[in-house]
Amino acid sequence: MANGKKLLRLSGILIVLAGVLGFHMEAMSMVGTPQENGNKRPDLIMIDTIAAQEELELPAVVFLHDTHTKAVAEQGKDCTACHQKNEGTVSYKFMRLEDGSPEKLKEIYHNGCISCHAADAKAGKKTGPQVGECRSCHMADPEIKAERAPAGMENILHYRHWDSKLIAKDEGQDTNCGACHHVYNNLDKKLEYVKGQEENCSVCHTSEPKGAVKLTTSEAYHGQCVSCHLEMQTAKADKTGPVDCAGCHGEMQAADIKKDNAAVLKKLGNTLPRLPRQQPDAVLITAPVQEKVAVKATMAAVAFNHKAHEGYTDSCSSCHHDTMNKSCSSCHTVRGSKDGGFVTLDKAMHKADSTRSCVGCHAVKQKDPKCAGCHELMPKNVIQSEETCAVCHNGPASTSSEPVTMDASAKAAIASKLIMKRPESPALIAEKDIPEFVTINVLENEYEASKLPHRKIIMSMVDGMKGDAMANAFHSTPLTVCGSCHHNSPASATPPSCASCHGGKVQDGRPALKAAYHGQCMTCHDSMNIKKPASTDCTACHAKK
Amino acid sequence: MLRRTFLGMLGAACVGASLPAGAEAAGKEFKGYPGSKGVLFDATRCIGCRKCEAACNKVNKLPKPEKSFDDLAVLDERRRTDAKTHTVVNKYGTPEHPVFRKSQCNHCLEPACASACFVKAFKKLPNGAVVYDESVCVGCRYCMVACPFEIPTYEYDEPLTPRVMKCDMCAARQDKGQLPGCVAECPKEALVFGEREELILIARERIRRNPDRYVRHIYGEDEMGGTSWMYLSGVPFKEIGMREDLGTKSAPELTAGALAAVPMVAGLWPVLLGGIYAVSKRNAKVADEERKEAVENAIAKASAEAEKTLSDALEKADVANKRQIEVEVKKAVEEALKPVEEEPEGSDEAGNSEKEES
Repeated sequence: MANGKKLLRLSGILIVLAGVLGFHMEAMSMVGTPQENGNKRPDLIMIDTIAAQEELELPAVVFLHDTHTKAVAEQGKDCTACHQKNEGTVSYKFMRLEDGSPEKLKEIYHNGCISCHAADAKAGKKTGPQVGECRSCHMADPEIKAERAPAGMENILHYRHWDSKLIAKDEGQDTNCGACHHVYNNLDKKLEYVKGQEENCSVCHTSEPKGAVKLTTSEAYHGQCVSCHLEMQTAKADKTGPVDCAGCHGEMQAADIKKDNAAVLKKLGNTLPRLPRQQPDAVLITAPVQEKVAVKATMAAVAFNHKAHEGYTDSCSSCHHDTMNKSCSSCHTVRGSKDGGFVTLDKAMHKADSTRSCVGCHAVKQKDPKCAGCHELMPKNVIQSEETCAVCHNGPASTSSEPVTMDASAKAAIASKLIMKRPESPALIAEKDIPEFVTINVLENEYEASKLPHRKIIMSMVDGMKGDAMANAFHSTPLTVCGSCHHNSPASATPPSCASCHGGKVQDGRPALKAAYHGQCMTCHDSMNIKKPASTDCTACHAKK
Repeated sequence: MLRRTFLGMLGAACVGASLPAGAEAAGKEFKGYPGSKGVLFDATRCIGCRKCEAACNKVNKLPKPEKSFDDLAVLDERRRTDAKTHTVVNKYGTPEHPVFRKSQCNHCLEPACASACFVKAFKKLPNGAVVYDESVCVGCRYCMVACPFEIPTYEYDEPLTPRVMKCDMCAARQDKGQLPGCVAECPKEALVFGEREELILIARERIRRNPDRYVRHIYGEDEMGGTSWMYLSGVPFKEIGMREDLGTKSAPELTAGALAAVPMVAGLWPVLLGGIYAVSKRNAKVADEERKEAVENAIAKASAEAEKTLSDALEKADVANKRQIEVEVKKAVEEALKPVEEEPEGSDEAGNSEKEES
């Protein structure tokens, strides 16, 4: 009898469990199956349009765009099943061009979604939630989360677009830039293309549209890219870009695009053709011309190799973070201005922890294992010597208004002359003058002396610089290469021994001799990913006595 | 005692007891003895060679471990200090980029172990070391519970004289002008010994010169009110097994309020309860007296009333008697005068005669 009761209870629990699980499975199957990377999907959109106007009554709606695109396509419909067209571009809102009142929005979504689901259910197709199944769409804590890879338009992908034969050429031009780039003409109140004035989309299309601009950054991108890709698709073009979310934002697809990009680049011999936008080859960077402000003595001008740097970055916006039609110094003035976020010209060029400043970007490059061996040892935020400034600041000094007030072409001429003069290889003293071995015997009471292959180390460093214009330019004196290990003393072919500064005890935070040696050698090995000798293997360098 | 006086005194006592404690808790901060020493550990320099462990073992004459200090495989498991090991190095991070951290007593400026110890077995010396006196220790191990870094350890296998064991910053060596064993032995100077104030400056300078190498924080500068052993790291301190939830108040500061209240509570309970007892006693006594008085009054009143009724009754009886006598007298007189008054009827001769006379 008691057993019977137990059985009954157990089976009851099981039935309830099965019911709950079944319900859960059903709910999940409606949402579609997440992609390989667990429960993260690039096409998940949380619909919370009303949240901008008032507090939501129910949690935001989980909407899987690609799942719907597929379902609509299977029924022989296209995007217009859900999206209205606005002057040729597909509006990226659902069933409307403009957001209305919260009531209106609610009506649009509820009617739009549920009527379609109901019709499908009638026809016996697999479909989404019906009337009354509120929580199937309005999920408080959805199991799947959105995860989108950034769909960056790097230089190489940009090239694939502007080089494309499929995109129509602009009127009277042999380029197709106008297909995407436009400016707003305030007089005619319409968009037009002006050659040579192409900008980053995000200059006007900010996350909160301002002034005459209607679309946010993402609306602008989706409107432009997806519409064009769709047109190509309907025109049965031989090649077109993605039209689904995952196509650009899926982790794997984004990696595929990167692969294609690399293949294209390889075909081109690893150099991209320059943009047909008439960028300068060389620029002389001087203090800005300010009306009614006399030019005080400023730093000597810097010759900037614009042409070379175009190839060093993924995108023009890595430096031109706001606009390409103004010079840096128009916002980043000497004293800083509101437009430049009060970042002064000096900080804009030298801030060590910014990826946009010259110094900051060069510091990122120094993290390359080939360079890091020496550069990891050097303090950042410290000006090593005046020579380091002069490597860049070697243009005409500005004690008067020259060359600040020169016209651009005259400046460019000066700059390109300076760039021509830059070294093609790192300067180095004659190889025979570099000691081949250096014997370190301060631990002689415990170990045999270590024999440091001094010349070999230096030559391998110099080998690593081959073909690197930045390294060539910056290792400009014969003793620059020595400066990382032989630091804090005047450059010399016969530098003082380490022991002359590093004694047996720590002084003012200056390491004692043993730690000084170990610090230099091990830090260098680590940052160059040299696995052998391991730092903990004493006898690899110090043979046992 | 009067209830009012007692309550007044109680209030005064509470205010009095809380005043100095309140005044003490506010704005009292101990930032270490001037010139006290400390050690700065830099996790970006440590290579995990275990030479500090070996040195510690040697200078403290601790028993030899099972596995030699050259065996770096022990780093693959998380270890902690014990009675025979005053310092351990642990490996964190990824296999490609391991990060090592040495752990030992942090020598708090205001040690939790010392504040928890009721026999003062732990003491913070002016030179920065937190030292232990086994001669007074009773083995309660409150120190082990109190320490937020889980440092003090117990000699569980010593049946007669178990001690609490931990690093003491080589206080004895310091007295001789020598460095702590681990610091002297570190081949990378991942450990720097010096005045705590100096170490903070050195640490700040390192962060300033290499902002991308370090997390911008000196662990131990303020944690638990500050420690003499401080840490720099290139990865978040959480990731090298260090607690980031300790706050900046020292253990004694956290517990001083509650502990200061103990004698007050212990002292005030008897007073409070005694007072309540006295008040209730007095109430009973007063009530007793009042009852007695009431009874006496009632008795007096009753006897007075009884007397009154008696005297009234007597008076009445008197009057009645007199009347009766008068009546009897009258009767007697009448009886006596009957033969005289046979002819005319008149009893009031006198009256009549008077009338007639007027």
